[in-house]
Amino acid sequence: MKNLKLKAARAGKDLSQQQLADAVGVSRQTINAIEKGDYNPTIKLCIAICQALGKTLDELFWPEEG
Amino acid sequence: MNTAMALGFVTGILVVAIVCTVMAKMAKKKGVIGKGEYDERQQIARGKAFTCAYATLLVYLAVWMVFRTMEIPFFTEGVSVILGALLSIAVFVGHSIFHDAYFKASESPRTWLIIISGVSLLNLGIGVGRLLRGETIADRLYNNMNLFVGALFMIVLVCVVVKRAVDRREED
Repeated sequence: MKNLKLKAARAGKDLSQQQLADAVGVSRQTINAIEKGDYNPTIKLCIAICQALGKTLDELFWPEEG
Repeated sequence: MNTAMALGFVTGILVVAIVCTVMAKMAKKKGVIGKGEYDERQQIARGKAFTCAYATLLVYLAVWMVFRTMEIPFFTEGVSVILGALLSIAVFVGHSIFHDAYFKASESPRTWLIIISGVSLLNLGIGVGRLLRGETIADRLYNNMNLFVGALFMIVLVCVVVKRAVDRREED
């Protein structure tokens, strides 16, 4: 399942995938895989991404109901 | 394999090991390789790549044993052993490259591309030279390790180039 909330939050901060990847210490492809829903990150990486984007875990990683 | 050949083989391995160690240390000192770590997704991808490579090696050994039992070997023993290693390395490297897990997140693939190209061309040069001089058949068995090593590195090179082209199209 695609993570459009992450993509939107990153775009909202005007960050490229590479910039976000550098900020959280992973490869650009890992950010790309998370956004595409190809990879489920660990809680550690989720928190790092949330901190980099100024969002909460709920806002970025909690699935929408219904 | 006679004593002279065995000595030559060991010397070759030692020279390659020393050259690789010196080059790796120089590159590490300059900060072009060895920076950072593999990220969590890359570590998982590399684990899968190792599994595939291990399975490939087992299958290769089984096939090799069947051919050997039927007394229809194609390669000398030295080449047979190295070929199995090269095949499994090719699977590991190919799988890692196509899952973005071969280079560390902060590493520059350009340096590796130069090293891989150099090793590939060197081995292909030696291999083709031996082929042209007709030195590749020993006791009716094929014996040209350099050609396989060169081919492996060429495959790695092609994988990296193709993956980079795909990545550029995907970027953001």
